[in-house]
Amino acid sequence: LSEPRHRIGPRTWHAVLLALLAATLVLSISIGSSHLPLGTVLRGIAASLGLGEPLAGHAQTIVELRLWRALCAALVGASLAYSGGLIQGVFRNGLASPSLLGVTGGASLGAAVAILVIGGYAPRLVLESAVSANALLVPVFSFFGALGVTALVAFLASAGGRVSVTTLLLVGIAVNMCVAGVFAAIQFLTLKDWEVSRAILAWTFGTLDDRSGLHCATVAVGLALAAFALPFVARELDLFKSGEDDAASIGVDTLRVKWTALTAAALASAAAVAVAGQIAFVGLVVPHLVRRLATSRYRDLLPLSMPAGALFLLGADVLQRALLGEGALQPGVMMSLVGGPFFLYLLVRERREISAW
Amino acid sequence: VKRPKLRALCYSNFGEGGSTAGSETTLDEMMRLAGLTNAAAAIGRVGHGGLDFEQLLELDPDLILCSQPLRMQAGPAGDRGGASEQLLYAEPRLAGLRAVRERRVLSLPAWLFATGSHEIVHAAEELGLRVDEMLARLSREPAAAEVGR
Repeated sequence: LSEPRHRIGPRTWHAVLLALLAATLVLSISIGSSHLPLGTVLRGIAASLGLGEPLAGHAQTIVELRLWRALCAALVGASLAYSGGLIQGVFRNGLASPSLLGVTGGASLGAAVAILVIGGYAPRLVLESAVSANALLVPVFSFFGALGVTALVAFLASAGGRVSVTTLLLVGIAVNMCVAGVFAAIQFLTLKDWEVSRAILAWTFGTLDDRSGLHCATVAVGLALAAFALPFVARELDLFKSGEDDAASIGVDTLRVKWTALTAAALASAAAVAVAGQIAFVGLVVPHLVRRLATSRYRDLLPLSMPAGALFLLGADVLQRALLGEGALQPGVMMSLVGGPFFLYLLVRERREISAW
Repeated sequence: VKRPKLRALCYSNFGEGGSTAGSETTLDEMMRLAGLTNAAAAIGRVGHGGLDFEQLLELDPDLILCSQPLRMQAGPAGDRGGASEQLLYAEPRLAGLRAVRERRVLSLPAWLFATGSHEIVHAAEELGLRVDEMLARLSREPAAAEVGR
C-alpha cells in the first residue's frame, strides 16, 4: 500500500487548489458578453452579499448570473470528480467513471421526458402545472432519472444484497445501452418538432448558462450528503487496492463499503448532471490528475478531488470563454474534447495492464 | 405596417438554455418583412444559436417572439402562451426586461417559425398582424402595460 513520494503534501495541495479556485471564481465573474470593470463586478458581488447598494440597471442581475454560473461550475466539477474517485476506488480501475452506473444516461432520459412535457406532449392536467414550473422541471426529472437508472443497475447487478464489480460493470453497460436506445427513439420521434428536438439535443451538450441559487443548492446538498460517506469508505478503499478478498480478510465489510461508496457517487453525480446536463470525463480525468500530482491514497485523493474538480471545470470554462467569447462551447462538448484524448492516452499508457484483464 | 420599428427577438427556452435566430435565417427575413428589426442580427448574430440571460438582458428588445410548440397550439394549454413565454414572465432575473415589463412577449403558432417557402410572405403578414393586435390590446389595457414597472 506504499505510494510514490510526492514533493508536495495533500495539505499544501488543498491550500494551493483553494487559492487558485478563489482567484478563478473572481476571474469567471469578470468575464461575460457585457463589459463590466473588475471594480464594478466586486461591488456587485458585495451588494449580492448585502454589503452595499445594488448596481444600476441590469448590471446587478448580470453579476449575480455570473456568480451563480461560476459557483455552479465549481460545485458540478467537485461533485463529478469526487464521484469519479469513489467509482474508481470501488472498481479498482482508473478507467471507471460515474457514467458506468447509468447516471448520465438516466439524467439525459429524465431531461428529455421533462422537455417533452414542457413541449406539450403531456395530458392537459400535467401540462397546466408543468409549463409554469418550466425552469425546475428539467433538473428535477433529470435528477430522478439519474437516480432511477442507477438504482435499476444496482438492483439488476445484485443478488441477495451482494454485488460484484464485474457484474455491475456489465449490467451498467447493458442498461446504458437500453437507456440510450429509448433516448434515441425520443430524439427520432421529435425530429418533426424543431423546438423540442433542439432543446433535447442542447441538453446533451451540458450547460452552465442561466444557473440560479437553486441549481447551486441542489448540487451543494448532493455533494454534502455524498461527502458524509468519506470517513466510512476512504481508508477501506485503500485496502481494496490489493483486492476485495484481501480487504475482507483483514476485517473490511466490503459489501457496506461498496454500497456506501456507490450510493454517494450516484448522489453526487446525479445532482451535478441534473443541473448542468451531460458533462463527461471530469470524473475520469480529475482523480487521475490528483493521483499523478498529489497522492494515490483514497483518504487524501477523495477530499482533494473536490477542489481539483472544481478548479478543472471552472478553469476550463473561464479559459474557453476568454478565448472564444460568444463562440464558446458548451461544457459537455468542451470536456469531451479534452477527455476523449486523455482517455486514449490512459488506455495507451496502461495497455500492458489492460491486456492482463 | 405603420408603427415604430420595434427591435424584436426570437427566443426559445425549454429549461435547457435559451436560443435565438440571427441574420441569414428565415425568421430574420420574416421579421424584416413584418417591419421589425431583428435585435440579434443587429449585433452581428448569424444563424441559430444559444442566448443566455446575460445576452438577453444586454439586448433588452422591445418585443420578444416565442413559438408555441407544435403540440401545444392544439389547445391543451389554451391561451396561456408557450413554455418560453411562461419562463420569461416567471423568471425574476428577467423582470427588468423592457418586453417583459411592458407585456410584449408574443407566443405565435409554431408553423410561423417553420415556414421555408413562398409561405414566408403569409407568415410575415400574420406576424405583423399579431404584433399590431398585441400593441392595440396593450394600448387599451394601460394597467397591463404597467405591470412590473
